[in-house]
Amino acid sequence: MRTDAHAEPFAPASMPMYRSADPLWYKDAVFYQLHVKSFADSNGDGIGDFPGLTAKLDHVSSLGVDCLWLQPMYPSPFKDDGYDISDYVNIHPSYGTLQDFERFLEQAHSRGLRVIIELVLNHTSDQHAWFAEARSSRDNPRRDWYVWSDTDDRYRGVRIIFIDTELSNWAWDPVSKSYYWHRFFSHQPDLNYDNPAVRDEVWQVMKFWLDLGVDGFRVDAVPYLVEREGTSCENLPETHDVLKELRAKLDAHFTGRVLLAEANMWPEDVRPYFGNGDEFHMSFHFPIMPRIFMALRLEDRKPLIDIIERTPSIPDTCQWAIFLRNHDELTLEMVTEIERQYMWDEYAKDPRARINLGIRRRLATLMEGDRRRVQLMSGLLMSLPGSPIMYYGDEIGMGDNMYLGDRNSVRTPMQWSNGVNAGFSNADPERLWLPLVSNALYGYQAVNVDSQQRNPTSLLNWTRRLIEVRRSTRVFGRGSIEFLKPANHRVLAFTRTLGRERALVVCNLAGTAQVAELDLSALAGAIPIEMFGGSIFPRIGREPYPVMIGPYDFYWFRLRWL
Amino acid sequence: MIQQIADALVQSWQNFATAFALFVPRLIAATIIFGVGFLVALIFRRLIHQLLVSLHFDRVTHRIGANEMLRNAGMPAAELLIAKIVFWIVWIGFMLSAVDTLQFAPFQGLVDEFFRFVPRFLVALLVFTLGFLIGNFLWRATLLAAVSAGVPGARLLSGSLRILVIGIGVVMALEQLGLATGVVLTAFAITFGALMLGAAIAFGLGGRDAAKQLLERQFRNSRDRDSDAAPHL
Amino acid sequence: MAVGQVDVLVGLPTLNNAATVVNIAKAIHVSFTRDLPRLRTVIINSDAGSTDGTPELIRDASFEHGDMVQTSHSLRTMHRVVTPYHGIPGKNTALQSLFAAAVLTQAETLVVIDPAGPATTAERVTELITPIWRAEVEFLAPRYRRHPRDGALVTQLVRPLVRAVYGVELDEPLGAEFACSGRFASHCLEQDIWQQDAATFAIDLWLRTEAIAHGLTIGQIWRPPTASAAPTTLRQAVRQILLSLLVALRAHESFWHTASDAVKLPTWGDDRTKCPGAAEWDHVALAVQAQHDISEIRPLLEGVLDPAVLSRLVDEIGATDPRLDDELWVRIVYDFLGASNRGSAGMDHLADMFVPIYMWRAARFMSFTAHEPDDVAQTRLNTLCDAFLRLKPLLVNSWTVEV
Repeated sequence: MRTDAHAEPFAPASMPMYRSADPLWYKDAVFYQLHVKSFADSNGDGIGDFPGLTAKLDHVSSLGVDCLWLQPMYPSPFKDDGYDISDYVNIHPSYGTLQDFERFLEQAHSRGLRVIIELVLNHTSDQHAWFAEARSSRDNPRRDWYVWSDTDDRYRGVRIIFIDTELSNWAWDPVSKSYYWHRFFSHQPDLNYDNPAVRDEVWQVMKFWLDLGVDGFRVDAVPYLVEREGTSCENLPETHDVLKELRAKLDAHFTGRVLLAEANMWPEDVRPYFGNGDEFHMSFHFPIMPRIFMALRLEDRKPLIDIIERTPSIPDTCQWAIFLRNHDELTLEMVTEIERQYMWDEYAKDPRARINLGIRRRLATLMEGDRRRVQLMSGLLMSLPGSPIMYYGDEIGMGDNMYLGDRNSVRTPMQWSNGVNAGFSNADPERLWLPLVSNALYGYQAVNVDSQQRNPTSLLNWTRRLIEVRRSTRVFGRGSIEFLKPANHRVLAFTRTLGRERALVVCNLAGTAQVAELDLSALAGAIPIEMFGGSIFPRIGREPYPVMIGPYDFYWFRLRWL
Repeated sequence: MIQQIADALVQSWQNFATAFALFVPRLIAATIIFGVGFLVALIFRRLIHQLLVSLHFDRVTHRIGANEMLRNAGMPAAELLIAKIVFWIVWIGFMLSAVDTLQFAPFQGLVDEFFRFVPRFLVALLVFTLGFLIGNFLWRATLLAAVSAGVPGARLLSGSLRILVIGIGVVMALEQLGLATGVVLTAFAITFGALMLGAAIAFGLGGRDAAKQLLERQFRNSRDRDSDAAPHL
Repeated sequence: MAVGQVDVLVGLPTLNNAATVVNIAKAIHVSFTRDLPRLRTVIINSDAGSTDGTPELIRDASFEHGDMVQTSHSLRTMHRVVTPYHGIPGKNTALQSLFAAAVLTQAETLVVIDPAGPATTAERVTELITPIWRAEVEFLAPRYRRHPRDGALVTQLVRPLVRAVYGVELDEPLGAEFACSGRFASHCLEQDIWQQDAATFAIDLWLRTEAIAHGLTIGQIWRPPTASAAPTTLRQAVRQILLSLLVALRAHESFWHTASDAVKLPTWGDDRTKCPGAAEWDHVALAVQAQHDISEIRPLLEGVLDPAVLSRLVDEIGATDPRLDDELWVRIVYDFLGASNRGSAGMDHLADMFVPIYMWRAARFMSFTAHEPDDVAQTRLNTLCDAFLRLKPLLVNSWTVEV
């Protein structure tokens, strides 16, 4: 029996009515990703905007999330859903004005919500003024702001990212009669980070938004900043130098801001982007994501444990960002060929669901509308190491529309009610920038915030409860993870430890009831307290601890020594 | 005087008539018992025969070699033979009972004697049968084992063993029947002892060298006989 | 069992196989990870009490690193269960354990690998699994390239007899390796064979004949030749095989009485392996031994063989100009089989009686074909098969005749 000295109570975190002053707030935060244009339309033009978003902040706040991550809201020709930016220091008129943004920011902060925005460092739109100048003449001062070549022979062998649409990383500019480098779409010329002027200007862009009050940036496409002949032009040391320089400036001028890297690579390859705590604060852990889906389908914890055990340690001030779905396809880049084929065969039987090297479907449809599986996936997201990022609409189980082009299948308007246009907009339905999902299973008539708000047992309320429980302890955000490996591979069990705080998570990955015997002898004497209901489970002893668990169910236990 | 003669004749006639009158019922009873006994014995014979046929007793007797032996001896098949034995046992029992009913003094107690004899007879039959079974089994087993081991004279060895075991069975059966037990036992002991003594002298003294060579050859043959199965599989 | 439901169960019955078992286990592992990554699999080692550390080698073998390439990284948890089985050591006990495991895990496919056999590469393991997994066949038996003068017990007795009696052209009715559906494993587990003493050595043959009698789709797969199992004497082998045949025939009486023709079986794999040469053995000495032994047991044979058959046999043995009389051999075999059913002698005695008869036949065949080309010898084997088939009515009659 442990003495009272060990019986420290957990200090429950408060509801999000204020922003934590902890500079490492992002290690405890739950993020919510949304696209302004898909969230709420206030002026009836069929496109979501900042005033609309502002009006819906109560919903976001009610979820219990800590930080919003906005998709690009800059002026853009929208050939890549806003990731082709034509003006870094403004707001696209469809979304409102800069003042609308400032008002939104203020309202978000007042609700204790932080906001991070996109920062597309690697490239601009070919409609950006910088590019217009650069291409106008070889002598233009901004000529060197981009990467030019008279031939398309340079940087041979570098892989093409958008294999479905691009044939080369070089595009011919008929204006300046030369080739320009683009790792993404041909209308997104890469900036030249060897040019100090570019780096200075990028910092000025960042400072602009930071001065307005944004809490950080999700930096898009970081591995590709710098090119060198004879390399893959990815993850070069010079790229890290640029990023460290920007981080140093950020730290010198601001506190409590975060840089989140988008680097779709193996965790050991992402590790350098944390530096020694002097580069990115956070980075997405891409490889975990498909493996969560894989583990569920295989009914086998192996893929998940393998990738987490393979993940290197990162500086104490840094954090992984984990997610289930986002605005892009469910990427299958960081898996083997066998795994990719398996995922396609299991989750994308319809070829329409496949795009590039991924699957363009939402969480709910990937889970075939099975609420138990949706809940299990959400539970995993909230309990695995890292800060979870929830994609808008997943809290109510929104569906997708595979008949829309590119990745728009997962960017359909938010479903607020079963009324006109799902409460998203007053515009004529034909005017909506994307049609609503309206089928019988996932359509807005069946799946919407209003009706789930009224139903105490809805997925929405369950998700709120889930986040609330997660916030009651820091162990999920900051704790270490130790896997228990019972003989039954269908059961994923692990402990999270942060100082004296200990949580035990047990998940049944199978659609059938399972039993597992856990070796908890190292925790002998602890009493597991189920975190959602407070039920007290039998004290842990030296013998294997049997756990019986229903299909796709999971338990979170707080371990206490009393 | 004539009256005395007449009285004597009458008395004699009355005695005869009385005796006759007493005898006739017994005669009739005996006749009935005799006839009923025959019928009962027939029924038993039929029943036993059917029972043994339905139990496929012929397979057992064929297996132990009894069928062959009976055929050679000109005897009927085993189940029929047994049925006949049962018939005779039952009928003799009834016959003796009938004789007993006649109350002939010399034959009094014969029934008791018979029914004391029948169990011994059955036991003797059983002993003989067992001896026969074991003898045949040992004959087969010994022959096969000796052949497998390459022992020379396997047939002689196994045949001798068979005769010995059956012989012991016969002696034991006769002892059970109580027929000249002293003579039978003594004769058997002398014969058996003489045979064994003769074999020991012949083998041990006269055939020492031959025995040595035989044993050596036996061990060599054992090794040579046990071919490896690998080329055959 | 924590393994739960599986798609493929590979069983590895072992007894002192330390020299070969690690390679086999590795081959199985690679087969699972590289060729069948999506399937739920388990390796179960059923050990009969090895004293050379065989089960420990299997349990502790590590295949995740070293010479494993990235593509062999497994999608699923690899289960490896090492369990000693209780009871009398023997193939049948090991197989019963594996069948029980197949039922518990609801395995769709069960493969039993010979720990000293040819499954030393992943390809050799995968090719056993795939036809069953794809439901192309429900029982898969190996077949080997044999020299016509090799394996006389198989070519002179078991193969032609099984073909004739069961009506399928099964090349190798014996053999430690096989693959079958989980449904068949479940069926086998319910049969009485496991309680019989003869199951210790008869189980291989019984499995194949049970599969035939039960109406399963049977297939064959070419396998490279392998060293024979634990060394045994010829006498023991002949006894065991005859007893195996008797067990099988008794178990499937109602089936083979009516089976006719000899159906060809589909065959997987390639047969490009070079035909091995025939092993040499002293058939002259064996013939002499057989002749002597048959003369000694002749009184016993009178109770088993038809008088005419016995007479012919005696004539043949003593003949100065011997012939290779297929019909005589077939009749002898059928008489023996029929005698067992009639109870003319105990099965053990029949088996002992049969040993010198087989020796005589095997020696006679080798002697006749010693200087013949291989294709002529092969033709003789085919003719023998035909003889068994043609004379099958004799077996049916002698099996059922009353004394």
